[in-house]
Amino acid sequence: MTNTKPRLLLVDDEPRILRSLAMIFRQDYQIFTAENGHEALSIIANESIHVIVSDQRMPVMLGSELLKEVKKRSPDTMRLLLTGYSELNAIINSINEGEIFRYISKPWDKNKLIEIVDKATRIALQTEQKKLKKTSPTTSNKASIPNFMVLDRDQSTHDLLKSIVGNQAKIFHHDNIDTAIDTMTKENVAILISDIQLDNQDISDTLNYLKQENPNLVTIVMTEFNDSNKLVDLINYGQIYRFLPKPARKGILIQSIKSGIKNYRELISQPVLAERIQAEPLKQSHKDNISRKLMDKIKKLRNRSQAEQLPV
Amino acid sequence: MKLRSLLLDVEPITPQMTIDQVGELLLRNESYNNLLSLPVVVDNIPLGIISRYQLMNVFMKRFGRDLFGKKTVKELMNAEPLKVDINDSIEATAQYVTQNMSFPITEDFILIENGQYVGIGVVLDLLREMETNVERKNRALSQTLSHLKQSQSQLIQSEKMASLGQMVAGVAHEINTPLGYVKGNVENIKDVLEQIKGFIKNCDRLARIMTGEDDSIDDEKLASMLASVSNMNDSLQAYSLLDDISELFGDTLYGIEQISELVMSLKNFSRLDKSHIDDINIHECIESALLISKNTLKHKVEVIKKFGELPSIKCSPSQINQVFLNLFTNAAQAIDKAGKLLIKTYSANDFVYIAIEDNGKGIVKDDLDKIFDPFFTTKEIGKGTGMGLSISFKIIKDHGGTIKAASKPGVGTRFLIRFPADTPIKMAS
Repeated sequence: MTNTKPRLLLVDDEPRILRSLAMIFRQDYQIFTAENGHEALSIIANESIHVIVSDQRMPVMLGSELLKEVKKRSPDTMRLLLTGYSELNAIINSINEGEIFRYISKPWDKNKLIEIVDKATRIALQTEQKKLKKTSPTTSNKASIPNFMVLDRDQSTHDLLKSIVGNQAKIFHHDNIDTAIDTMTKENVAILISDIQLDNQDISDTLNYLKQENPNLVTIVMTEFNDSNKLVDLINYGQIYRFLPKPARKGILIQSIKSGIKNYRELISQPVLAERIQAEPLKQSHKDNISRKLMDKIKKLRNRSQAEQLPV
Repeated sequence: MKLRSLLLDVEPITPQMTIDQVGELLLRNESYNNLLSLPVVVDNIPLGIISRYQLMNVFMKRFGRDLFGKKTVKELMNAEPLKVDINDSIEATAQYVTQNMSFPITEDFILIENGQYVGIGVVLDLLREMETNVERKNRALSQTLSHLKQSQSQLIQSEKMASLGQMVAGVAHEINTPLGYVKGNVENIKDVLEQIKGFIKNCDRLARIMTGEDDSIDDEKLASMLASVSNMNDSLQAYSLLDDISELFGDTLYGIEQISELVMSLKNFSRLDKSHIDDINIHECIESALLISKNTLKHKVEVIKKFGELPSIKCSPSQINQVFLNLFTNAAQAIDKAGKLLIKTYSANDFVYIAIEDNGKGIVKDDLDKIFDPFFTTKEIGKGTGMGLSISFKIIKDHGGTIKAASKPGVGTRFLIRFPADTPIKMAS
C-alpha cells in the first residue's frame, strides 16, 4: 500500500525535539526525521518532501544553509525554520537565501504550529497539482522591465536604483507612505524597494499589510534598522523578498533586482506561486499601527491589482 | 606661584665700599639680618655678591682686618653671582639654583628683570616654596588616584555585568531546547489523555448497555459507538500510543533534569557572597563553568578533559568559576570554525595545576606580553572591556596562585594556572 499522506521532513540535532514534533504530526503525515543537514539533504534527494521544518543551530550545517540547499534542489518544498535563536544573520540568510515561508520560535505553540504546517502543506499540494497540468511557464524574455517604487528618505537609494535600471523602467520615488500608496492606486508597481523607518516612524506593519492586500508585490527592504523581532514579522506577516542592510552594495542590489523581476514574472504567469508567498494575516495589534485612511486605500489596491494583472 | 613673591627689596652696595664698611653694615643694619650676602650693583647692573662668610674669613685671619680692611669690595666679591630673571618659574629657578650654588650655602641669589637689578632671593625660601608645591601636587595626585580607582572598580563592575549578560543569554538558550520538547510533550500527552478519556467513557457505556443497565440507545447509535471504540483501539495499537507516552514521559523527565541542572549550576555559579571561602574541588568549578559556557562551546569546540587526582583547595568558588568561564569563552572566541579545548589537571609538590589549551588562532608575541594588563583587548570596540584576563590574574593572585600564558599564532594558546594545595589564602575584599 502506498502512503498517500503528505510528506513532512523534521530536522533538529536534538532527537527529543524530533520525537515530540513527530508525535504531533504522524497521524496526518508521513514523517521523515534528520539530525543534521546532510541527512536531511539525502532524504530530499530520494523523497519528494512537501514541507521541511528545520532547526537553525545544528552541527555540520546551519538551518539557513540547509534551507538554501533545499530551495535549490527541491524548490517546491515549503521551507520553515523552527528555532530558539534570533540571531540577525540567521534571519537575514533565511530570507535572502532560504526564502522561507515562516520563522517559528521555540518553544512552539502546538496549535499554531499545526496551523502553519497544515497551511504550508496545502500550498505544497496545490503547487504539485498545478505543476502537473502545466509544466512550462510562458514567460517571455523580451518582456519589458516592470515598474519600481523607491520608498525612502535617502536620495542615494533612488540614485543607486537609477544607475542600475537607467531608463529601462519607470521608477517612482517617495519619501512618505501616504503619497507612495496614492501612486500605487494609479500606477502598477511590481517591485518596491523600501526602508522600514521613515522619519523615525516604523512603517513595517504598513508594508506587511500592503503585501497581504497586494500579494504579487515583490518587496525589497533596505534599511539600517535591524531588530530581529521586526525582521521575523517581515517574514511571517510581510513575506518580504529580500532584506538588504544599508548601506547596500550595488552588486547585491543588482542581483536582488534581477531575481526580483524574474520572481515577479513567475508570479504573474503562474498564479499558484502567489500562494507560496502568502503572508500570515496581521493581528489587530499590528493593524492598530496603521491609519484607517491608509488601510482603506490599500484595500482598494487589491481589487485593482486583480483587475489589471497584465501579462508582463 | 611666581618668583616675585620671594623677592626681598634689598638696598645694594657699591663696588667702591671698603671691607670695613661692609662689615659695619652687616653688623648694624637690621634690614640685612636675614641675608647671607649683599649684592654689589652699579647703575642697576649687578656686578657681584659678597657674603658674610667671606668677611668672616677675612676678619678671623691674624691681622686680617688691618691687612684687608681698607680694600674695596670689588677686590673680594664673587663676580659671578647666581642671577635669576624675576619672571622665571619657581621650578626652573630651583633647578638652576640647586645645580649652580656652592656648598655650604653662603650666598643668596640676585633677582633681575631685563638684566636690571630688582632685589635678592633667599635659597631657603625657594626650597620652602618648592616643598609647598610638591605637597599640592601630591594632593592632586592622590585625588587622581582615587578617581582612577573608582573608575577601575566601575569597569570591573561593567565587565562583570557583560559576562553576566553573556552567561544569562547562553543559559536561556540552553534551557530553551529542553523547555521546547518538555512543553510539546506535555501538550501531546494531554491530548492523548483526552482521547483516552473519551475511549474509556464509550467503553463504560457499552458495558452498561451490554449488561442491560442502559437501554436508551438505538441500534444506529450503538453501531457508531462501537465503530468509534474500535477505531480508537486501532489507533492505540497502530501507533502504540501508550508505549509512546511512556517514551515521551522519559524525554520530559530528562528535559526537566537538564533544566534543573542548569538552574543549579547558575545558583552555584553566582554565589553572591564573594568572599565566601570553602574547601573546593577544582573539577567542580571547571564542570560548572563548562555547563554555563556550553552554549558558546557547542557545535564548535570539542572539549577534552584529562583530570588527574586533585586535593580540595581553599578558595572562593564563584571567583574561580569566573576565571574558568573567562578562559573558556576566550578559547571559544579564538576558534574560528571548529577546534579543541583541552583541560588538564594534575597535582605535584603541594601545588594544583590546571592547563587550559586551545587550538585557536593564537596570540602574537607583542600582544601576549599585554594580555593581563587592564583594558588590553584585541576584540572589536564594544566586544570586550579588556578587563577579563586582568581580573582573572588578580583573582588567582589573591588565591596565592599564578597564571602563565604561552601562545603560537595559528597553533593555539595555553594557560597554566597553579594554586598552592594548602597555603591559607589571603582574600582581598
